Amino acid sequence: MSAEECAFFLRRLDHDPAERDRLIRYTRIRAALRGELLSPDPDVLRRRVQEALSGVSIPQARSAVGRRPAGKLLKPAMGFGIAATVAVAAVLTLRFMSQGGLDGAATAADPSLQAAAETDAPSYVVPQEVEPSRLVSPPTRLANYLIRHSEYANRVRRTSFASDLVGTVDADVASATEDASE
Amino acid sequence: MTAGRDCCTRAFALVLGFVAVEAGAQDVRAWLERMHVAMEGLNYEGTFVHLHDGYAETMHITHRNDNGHVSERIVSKDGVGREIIRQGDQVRCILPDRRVILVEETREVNPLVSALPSYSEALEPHYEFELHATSSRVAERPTQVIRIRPRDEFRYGYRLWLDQDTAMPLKSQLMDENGGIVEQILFTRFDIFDSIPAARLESTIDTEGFRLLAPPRSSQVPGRSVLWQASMLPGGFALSIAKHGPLAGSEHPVEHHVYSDGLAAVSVFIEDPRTVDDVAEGYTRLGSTNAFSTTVSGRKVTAIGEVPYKTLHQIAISLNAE
Repeated sequence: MSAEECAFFLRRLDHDPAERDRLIRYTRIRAALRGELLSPDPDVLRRRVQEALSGVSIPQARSAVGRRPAGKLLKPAMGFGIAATVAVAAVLTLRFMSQGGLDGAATAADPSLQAAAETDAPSYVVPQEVEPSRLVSPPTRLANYLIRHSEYANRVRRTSFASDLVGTVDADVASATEDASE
Repeated sequence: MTAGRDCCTRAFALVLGFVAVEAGAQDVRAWLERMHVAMEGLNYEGTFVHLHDGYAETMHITHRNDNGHVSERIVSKDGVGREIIRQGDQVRCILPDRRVILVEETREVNPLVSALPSYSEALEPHYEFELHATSSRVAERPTQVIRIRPRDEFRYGYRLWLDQDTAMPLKSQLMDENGGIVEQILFTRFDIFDSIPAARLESTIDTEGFRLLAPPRSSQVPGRSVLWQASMLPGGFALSIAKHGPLAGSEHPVEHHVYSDGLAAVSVFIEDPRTVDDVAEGYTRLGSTNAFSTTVSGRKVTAIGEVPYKTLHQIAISLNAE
């Protein structure tokens, strides 16, 4: 979606209360399903949308001094903010799809992969809960074990073991979690 | 007459199906053998991304084959920049954050080990092999996709994108029993060379003052009578290597067993618990590699491998001292 189309979309949301309400409902439903509570900061969202459209960094909003009472603005601003979030998400999604995604070239060239992707990919990618205590820089003995083991792993896995070994979880995280176990 | 023709048609279809399956198996076998040759035999450099557990790390690999003398250097491009350098029968792991160089000798590797990645009919009861009919592109190179599915929950599956020209795996996914991706390696750049200067394999880390941890010169003892036996191995796994000797940085001997189903491998290390106080009991994940440590008959037993936790657990707890 171009910047002009995006601006048009935003204007329409601004002038079509029914459309805006529907988007807000869908956004809330989505947020509820994801377990993400809505606590939008309308000013931040407005700035992000304007930045996305103009490509120029917008300065922070005016200070609280001299502002109209927040209560009068809160409801429409929230509505606008949520609608704007939806618009930005739509723009980003459409751009991503139009570029074919990360693996677009591969899947486009391979119908079987497309089919596999359709069956394998979850409808919504829930962020994995990473347990820091299980992502460790190996203690020296485990590094010993890993090196020794890698010599007996199949060749594909040997590269992977080496990556595991030299892979960098931040040193401070690693040292704090060396003795991780369940 | 019609029934006879139907019967013939069905038999013909059955034969065709059998021939197709057999041809597919032959193709997979050929691709995996080519892959094995390519990974060892080519001179190449590449940059790849290692994705696991929500982390992405960028690595650079330099692989050199100088008339059969294989050397390899893998450098992390992120964080502290650890390196692992494999030259002949020696592996050096440089850990700048710990100011340690770990050195391991691999002189006892026998032909059985180098045969591990190959396809064999013994894998068929435990894995299903599939050759995708169409190709895909990775790092701007056309690839052939192979999928290896586990037939039970004791091992992981693979999906491999092999370079059409060389059969190098330009992308690989390790997949759990539910088809979820445990780990992914994806080359973003891959170049093949006629030769690579030896200097490209040298570390650029200033290791002055680093602690060198190497195994004592007392040799490992391959083929020594096995003192420990696993009584309840998951189907398809069998003892392939048993060694006894010290590891880097320790004078104390370690019993090292390798159990393999022909594709996945599990190492079990058995040692005196007083000598390994930095390995906590329980489950640990090292990148995409799982580890499980426990105490059996007063000895510290640590199982490590690219298999689900339950496989490690079953192997570790089934060990018995003879």
